[in-house]
Amino acid sequence: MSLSSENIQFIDNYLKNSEVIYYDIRMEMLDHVATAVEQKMQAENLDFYDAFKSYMVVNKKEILKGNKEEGLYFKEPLKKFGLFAIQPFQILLAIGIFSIVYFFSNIYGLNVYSNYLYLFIIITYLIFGISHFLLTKRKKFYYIDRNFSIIFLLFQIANPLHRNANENLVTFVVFNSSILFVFFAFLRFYYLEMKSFKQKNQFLFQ
Amino acid sequence: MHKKIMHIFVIQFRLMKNSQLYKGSLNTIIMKLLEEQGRMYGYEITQKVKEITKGELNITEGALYPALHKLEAEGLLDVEVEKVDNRLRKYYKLTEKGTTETVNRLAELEEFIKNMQTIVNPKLSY
Repeated sequence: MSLSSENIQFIDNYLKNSEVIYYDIRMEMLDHVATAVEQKMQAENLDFYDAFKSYMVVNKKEILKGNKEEGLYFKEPLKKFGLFAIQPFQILLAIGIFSIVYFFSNIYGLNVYSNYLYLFIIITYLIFGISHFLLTKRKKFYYIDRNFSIIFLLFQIANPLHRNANENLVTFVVFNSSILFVFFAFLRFYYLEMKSFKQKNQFLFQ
Repeated sequence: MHKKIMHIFVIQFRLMKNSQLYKGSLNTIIMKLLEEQGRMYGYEITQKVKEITKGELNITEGALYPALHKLEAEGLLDVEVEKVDNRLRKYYKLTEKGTTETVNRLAELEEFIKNMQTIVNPKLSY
Protein backbone atom coordinates (compact mmCIF):
# COMPACT_ATOMS: atom_id res chain seq x y z
CA MET A 1 0.00 0.00 0.00
CA SER A 2 1.73 3.21 -1.15
CA LEU A 3 1.12 6.58 0.49
CA SER A 4 -0.34 9.43 -1.57
CA SER A 5 1.65 12.58 -2.23
CA GLU A 6 -0.63 14.40 0.30
CA ASN A 7 0.35 11.85 2.97
CA ILE A 8 4.02 12.33 2.12
CA GLN A 9 3.59 16.10 2.33
CA PHE A 10 1.91 15.67 5.73
CA ILE A 11 4.89 13.70 7.11
CA ASP A 12 7.32 16.22 5.59
CA ASN A 13 5.50 19.12 7.28
CA TYR A 14 5.45 17.22 10.57
CA LEU A 15 9.22 16.72 10.42
CA LYS A 16 9.77 20.35 9.38
CA ASN A 17 7.73 21.46 12.41
CA SER A 18 9.86 19.16 14.55
CA GLU A 19 12.87 21.29 13.47
CA VAL A 20 14.43 18.84 11.07
CA ILE A 21 15.79 21.72 9.00
CA TYR A 22 18.28 19.87 6.79
CA TYR A 23 16.67 18.56 3.63
CA ASP A 24 19.06 15.62 3.15
CA ILE A 25 18.41 14.36 6.70
CA ARG A 26 14.65 15.02 6.47
CA MET A 27 14.34 13.22 3.13
CA GLU A 28 15.81 10.05 4.66
CA MET A 29 13.69 10.28 7.82
CA LEU A 30 10.60 10.84 5.70
CA ASP A 31 11.21 7.65 3.71
CA HIS A 32 11.80 5.72 6.95
CA VAL A 33 8.57 6.94 8.57
CA ALA A 34 6.56 6.54 5.34
CA THR A 35 7.72 2.93 4.85
CA ALA A 36 7.00 2.06 8.50
CA VAL A 37 3.54 3.67 8.29
CA GLU A 38 2.75 1.80 5.05
CA GLN A 39 3.65 -1.49 6.73
CA LYS A 40 1.56 -0.62 9.78
CA MET A 41 -1.45 0.31 7.64
CA GLN A 42 -1.23 -3.03 5.91
CA ALA A 43 -0.48 -5.19 8.95
CA GLU A 44 -3.09 -3.64 11.26
CA ASN A 45 -5.60 -2.50 8.65
CA LEU A 46 -5.45 1.14 9.76
CA ASP A 47 -5.96 4.36 7.81
CA PHE A 48 -3.00 6.74 7.27
CA TYR A 49 -3.60 9.10 10.19
CA ASP A 50 -4.17 6.34 12.76
CA ALA A 51 -1.13 4.41 11.57
CA PHE A 52 1.02 7.58 11.59
CA LYS A 53 -0.16 8.59 15.05
CA SER A 54 0.40 5.18 16.60
CA TYR A 55 3.84 4.87 14.96
CA MET A 56 5.02 8.32 16.07
CA VAL A 57 3.81 7.89 19.66
CA VAL A 58 6.28 5.04 20.07
CA ASN A 59 9.10 6.08 17.72
CA LYS A 60 9.19 9.89 17.59
CA LYS A 61 12.03 10.28 20.09
CA GLU A 62 14.22 7.71 18.35
CA ILE A 63 13.47 9.07 14.85
CA LEU A 64 14.32 12.65 15.80
CA LYS A 65 17.63 11.59 17.31
CA GLY A 66 18.89 11.47 13.73
CA ASN A 67 18.52 15.26 13.66
CA LYS A 68 21.26 15.64 16.27
CA GLU A 69 24.52 14.50 14.84
CA GLU A 70 26.67 17.04 16.66
CA GLY A 71 29.33 14.43 17.23
CA LEU A 72 30.09 14.46 13.54
CA TYR A 73 29.99 18.20 13.17
CA PHE A 74 33.68 19.00 13.64
CA LYS A 75 35.46 15.67 13.52
CA GLU A 76 34.50 14.23 10.15
CA PRO A 77 34.77 17.37 7.96
CA LEU A 78 38.05 18.33 9.64
CA LYS A 79 39.51 14.89 9.01
CA LYS A 80 38.39 15.00 5.39
CA PHE A 81 39.78 18.51 4.93
CA GLY A 82 43.08 17.47 6.54
CA LEU A 83 43.50 14.66 4.00
CA PHE A 84 42.50 17.03 1.18
CA ALA A 85 45.05 19.64 2.28
CA ILE A 86 48.00 17.28 1.86
CA GLN A 87 47.16 16.32 -1.74
CA PRO A 88 49.74 17.42 -4.39
CA PHE A 89 47.67 20.35 -5.76
CA GLN A 90 47.24 21.83 -2.29
CA ILE A 91 50.95 21.37 -1.50
CA LEU A 92 51.77 23.39 -4.65
CA LEU A 93 49.22 26.00 -3.57
CA ALA A 94 50.89 26.22 -0.15
CA ILE A 95 54.33 26.72 -1.70
CA GLY A 96 52.95 29.38 -4.08
CA ILE A 97 51.20 31.30 -1.27
CA PHE A 98 54.25 31.10 0.99
CA SER A 99 56.51 32.49 -1.78
CA ILE A 100 54.13 35.36 -2.62
CA VAL A 101 53.68 36.36 1.04
CA TYR A 102 57.45 36.20 1.62
CA PHE A 103 58.18 38.25 -1.51
CA PHE A 104 55.63 41.00 -0.82
CA SER A 105 56.36 41.33 2.90
CA ASN A 106 60.02 41.87 2.03
CA ILE A 107 59.16 44.66 -0.42
CA TYR A 108 56.31 46.49 1.31
CA GLY A 109 56.99 45.82 5.01
CA LEU A 110 54.80 44.05 7.51
CA ASN A 111 52.15 46.46 8.82
CA VAL A 112 50.73 47.85 5.58
CA TYR A 113 50.57 44.45 4.02
CA SER A 114 49.03 42.80 7.11
CA ASN A 115 46.04 45.18 7.18
CA TYR A 116 45.26 44.68 3.49
CA LEU A 117 45.58 40.93 3.83
CA TYR A 118 43.15 40.72 6.70
CA LEU A 119 40.67 43.02 4.96
CA PHE A 120 40.92 40.91 1.82
CA ILE A 121 40.17 37.70 3.75
CA ILE A 122 37.19 39.21 5.57
CA ILE A 123 35.66 40.57 2.33
CA THR A 124 36.16 37.26 0.49
CA TYR A 125 34.72 35.41 3.48
CA LEU A 126 31.65 37.66 3.47
CA ILE A 127 31.09 37.19 -0.27
CA PHE A 128 31.49 33.47 0.18
CA GLY A 129 29.13 33.35 3.19
CA ILE A 130 26.45 35.34 1.35
CA SER A 131 26.74 33.11 -1.75
CA HIS A 132 26.40 30.01 0.44
CA PHE A 133 23.36 31.51 2.17
CA LEU A 134 21.69 32.33 -1.17
CA LEU A 135 22.50 28.91 -2.61
CA THR A 136 20.99 27.03 0.34
CA LYS A 137 18.19 29.49 1.15
CA ARG A 138 15.42 27.21 -0.12
CA LYS A 139 16.92 23.94 1.03
CA LYS A 140 19.58 23.51 3.67
CA PHE A 141 21.84 20.48 3.46
CA TYR A 142 23.56 19.06 6.52
CA TYR A 143 26.30 17.53 4.41
CA ILE A 144 27.20 20.97 2.97
CA ASP A 145 26.64 23.11 6.05
CA ARG A 146 28.85 21.03 8.30
CA ASN A 147 31.87 21.91 6.14
CA PHE A 148 31.49 25.47 7.38
CA SER A 149 32.73 24.37 10.79
CA ILE A 150 36.25 24.34 9.28
CA ILE A 151 36.20 28.02 8.40
CA PHE A 152 34.62 28.99 11.75
CA LEU A 153 37.34 27.10 13.55
CA LEU A 154 39.99 28.84 11.43
CA PHE A 155 38.69 32.28 12.43
CA GLN A 156 38.45 31.28 16.10
CA ILE A 157 42.11 30.25 16.08
CA ALA A 158 43.41 33.03 13.81
CA ASN A 159 41.81 36.01 15.58
CA PRO A 160 43.69 35.91 18.90
CA LEU A 161 46.98 35.04 17.19
CA HIS A 162 46.74 37.78 14.56
CA ARG A 163 48.49 40.60 16.49
CA ASN A 164 51.28 38.49 17.98
CA ALA A 165 52.18 37.11 14.58
CA ASN A 166 53.26 40.55 13.32
CA GLU A 167 56.28 40.73 15.63
CA ASN A 168 58.90 39.53 13.18
CA LEU A 169 59.23 38.49 9.56
CA VAL A 170 59.36 34.74 10.19
CA THR A 171 56.20 34.49 12.37
CA PHE A 172 54.46 36.96 10.05
CA VAL A 173 55.15 34.97 6.89
CA VAL A 174 54.36 31.60 8.48
CA PHE A 175 51.13 32.81 10.11
CA ASN A 176 49.74 34.70 7.13
CA SER A 177 50.70 32.08 4.56
CA SER A 178 48.99 29.45 6.72
CA ILE A 179 45.82 31.54 7.03
CA LEU A 180 45.73 32.24 3.29
CA PHE A 181 46.47 28.62 2.45
CA VAL A 182 43.71 27.19 4.68
CA PHE A 183 41.32 29.78 3.29
CA PHE A 184 41.99 29.07 -0.40
CA ALA A 185 42.23 25.32 0.15
CA PHE A 186 38.86 25.51 1.91
CA LEU A 187 37.27 27.37 -1.02
CA ARG A 188 38.43 24.61 -3.36
CA PHE A 189 37.38 21.90 -0.88
CA TYR A 190 33.91 23.45 -0.51
CA TYR A 191 33.47 23.74 -4.29
CA LEU A 192 34.51 20.10 -4.92
CA GLU A 193 32.39 18.77 -2.04
CA MET A 194 29.33 20.69 -3.30
CA LYS A 195 29.93 19.41 -6.84
CA SER A 196 30.24 15.76 -5.77
CA PHE A 197 27.23 16.06 -3.43
CA LYS A 198 25.16 17.50 -6.29
CA GLN A 199 26.26 14.73 -8.64
CA LYS A 200 25.39 11.99 -6.16
CA ASN A 201 22.09 13.54 -5.07
CA GLN A 202 20.63 15.05 -8.23
CA PHE A 203 17.10 14.31 -7.02
CA LEU A 204 17.55 16.53 -3.97
CA PHE A 205 18.00 19.61 -6.16
CA GLN A 206 14.92 19.10 -8.31
CA MET B 1 28.42 -21.99 41.41
CA HIS B 2 29.63 -21.92 37.78
CA LYS B 3 26.05 -22.40 36.56
CA LYS B 4 24.87 -19.53 38.74
CA ILE B 5 27.52 -17.19 37.32
CA MET B 6 26.56 -18.19 33.77
CA HIS B 7 22.90 -17.58 34.56
CA ILE B 8 23.70 -14.10 35.85
CA PHE B 9 25.79 -13.44 32.73
CA VAL B 10 22.94 -14.50 30.44
CA ILE B 11 20.52 -12.22 32.28
CA GLN B 12 23.05 -9.37 32.15
CA PHE B 13 23.61 -10.01 28.44
CA ARG B 14 19.88 -9.87 27.74
CA LEU B 15 19.58 -6.60 29.63
CA MET B 16 22.46 -5.13 27.70
CA LYS B 17 21.04 -6.22 24.39
CA ASN B 18 20.56 -3.22 22.09
CA SER B 19 23.03 -1.27 24.19
CA GLN B 20 26.72 -1.51 25.07
CA LEU B 21 27.64 -4.96 23.75
CA TYR B 22 26.12 -4.32 20.38
CA LYS B 23 27.25 -0.72 19.97
CA GLY B 24 30.77 -1.65 18.95
CA SER B 25 29.50 -4.17 16.41
CA LEU B 26 26.83 -2.02 14.75
CA ASN B 27 29.06 -0.88 11.87
CA THR B 28 30.20 -4.45 11.21
CA ILE B 29 26.59 -5.68 11.20
CA ILE B 30 25.64 -2.99 8.67
CA MET B 31 28.62 -3.74 6.45
CA LYS B 32 28.02 -7.49 6.58
CA LEU B 33 24.39 -6.99 5.52
CA LEU B 34 25.39 -4.73 2.63
CA GLU B 35 27.99 -7.25 1.55
CA GLU B 36 25.25 -9.89 1.30
CA GLN B 37 22.42 -7.77 -0.09
CA GLY B 38 24.28 -5.43 -2.43
CA ARG B 39 22.39 -2.24 -1.61
CA MET B 40 19.87 -1.38 1.10
CA TYR B 41 18.00 1.60 2.55
CA GLY B 42 17.74 2.46 6.25
CA TYR B 43 14.34 0.96 7.06
CA GLU B 44 15.23 -2.21 5.16
CA ILE B 45 18.37 -2.66 7.32
CA THR B 46 16.40 -2.39 10.59
CA GLN B 47 13.84 -4.93 9.34
CA LYS B 48 16.44 -7.34 8.01
CA VAL B 49 18.29 -7.38 11.35
CA LYS B 50 14.99 -7.98 13.17
CA GLU B 51 14.14 -10.78 10.76
CA ILE B 52 17.51 -12.55 11.00
CA THR B 53 17.60 -12.39 14.81
CA LYS B 54 13.87 -13.25 15.06
CA GLY B 55 13.12 -9.93 16.75
CA GLU B 56 15.86 -10.34 19.38
CA LEU B 57 17.99 -7.48 18.09
CA ASN B 58 16.48 -4.11 17.32
CA ILE B 59 18.64 -1.45 15.66
CA THR B 60 17.19 1.91 16.56
CA GLU B 61 16.90 4.75 14.05
CA GLY B 62 18.85 7.04 16.36
CA ALA B 63 21.86 4.70 16.15
CA LEU B 64 21.51 3.48 12.56
CA TYR B 65 21.52 6.73 10.59
CA PRO B 66 24.48 8.40 12.31
CA ALA B 67 26.38 5.12 11.80
CA LEU B 68 25.47 5.04 8.09
CA HIS B 69 26.46 8.70 7.66
CA LYS B 70 29.77 8.11 9.40
CA LEU B 71 30.58 5.10 7.21
CA GLU B 72 29.67 7.19 4.17
CA ALA B 73 31.93 10.05 5.32
CA GLU B 74 34.77 7.57 5.83
CA GLY B 75 34.41 6.45 2.22
CA LEU B 76 33.30 2.92 3.15
CA LEU B 77 29.78 3.38 1.76
CA ASP B 78 28.46 4.95 -1.40
CA VAL B 79 24.93 6.30 -1.83
CA GLU B 80 22.31 6.32 -4.57
CA VAL B 81 19.14 8.41 -4.30
CA GLU B 82 16.10 7.22 -6.24
CA LYS B 83 12.49 8.26 -6.51
CA VAL B 84 10.19 5.56 -5.06
CA ASP B 85 6.41 6.00 -4.51
CA ASN B 86 6.15 9.81 -4.31
CA ARG B 87 9.28 10.14 -2.21
CA LEU B 88 13.07 9.89 -2.39
CA ARG B 89 14.90 6.83 -1.12
CA LYS B 90 18.59 6.73 -0.20
CA TYR B 91 20.30 3.42 -0.87
CA TYR B 92 23.66 2.48 0.62
CA LYS B 93 26.21 0.11 -0.85
CA LEU B 94 29.80 -0.80 -0.05
CA THR B 95 32.63 0.94 -1.87
CA GLU B 96 35.73 -0.99 -2.89
CA LYS B 97 37.42 0.23 0.29
CA GLY B 98 34.30 -0.78 2.25
CA THR B 99 34.36 -4.33 0.87
CA THR B 100 37.97 -4.82 1.96
CA GLU B 101 37.24 -3.28 5.37
CA THR B 102 34.23 -5.61 5.85
CA VAL B 103 36.49 -8.66 5.53
CA ASN B 104 38.89 -7.21 8.15
CA ARG B 105 36.15 -6.24 10.57
CA LEU B 106 34.40 -9.60 10.30
CA ALA B 107 37.65 -11.41 11.03
CA GLU B 108 38.17 -9.12 14.04
CA LEU B 109 34.63 -9.75 15.28
CA GLU B 110 35.01 -13.52 14.91
CA GLU B 111 38.22 -13.38 16.90
CA PHE B 112 36.45 -11.36 19.59
CA ILE B 113 33.58 -13.86 19.81
CA LYS B 114 36.06 -16.75 20.06
CA ASN B 115 37.94 -15.04 22.87
CA MET B 116 34.76 -14.18 24.73
CA GLN B 117 33.66 -17.78 24.48
CA THR B 118 36.95 -18.98 25.93
CA ILE B 119 36.58 -16.61 28.85
CA VAL B 120 32.87 -17.13 29.51
CA ASN B 121 32.58 -20.84 28.90
CA PRO B 122 35.95 -22.63 28.67
CA LYS B 123 34.31 -26.06 28.33
CA LEU B 124 32.52 -25.13 25.11
CA SER B 125 35.54 -23.51 23.52
CA TYR B 126 37.87 -25.41 21.26
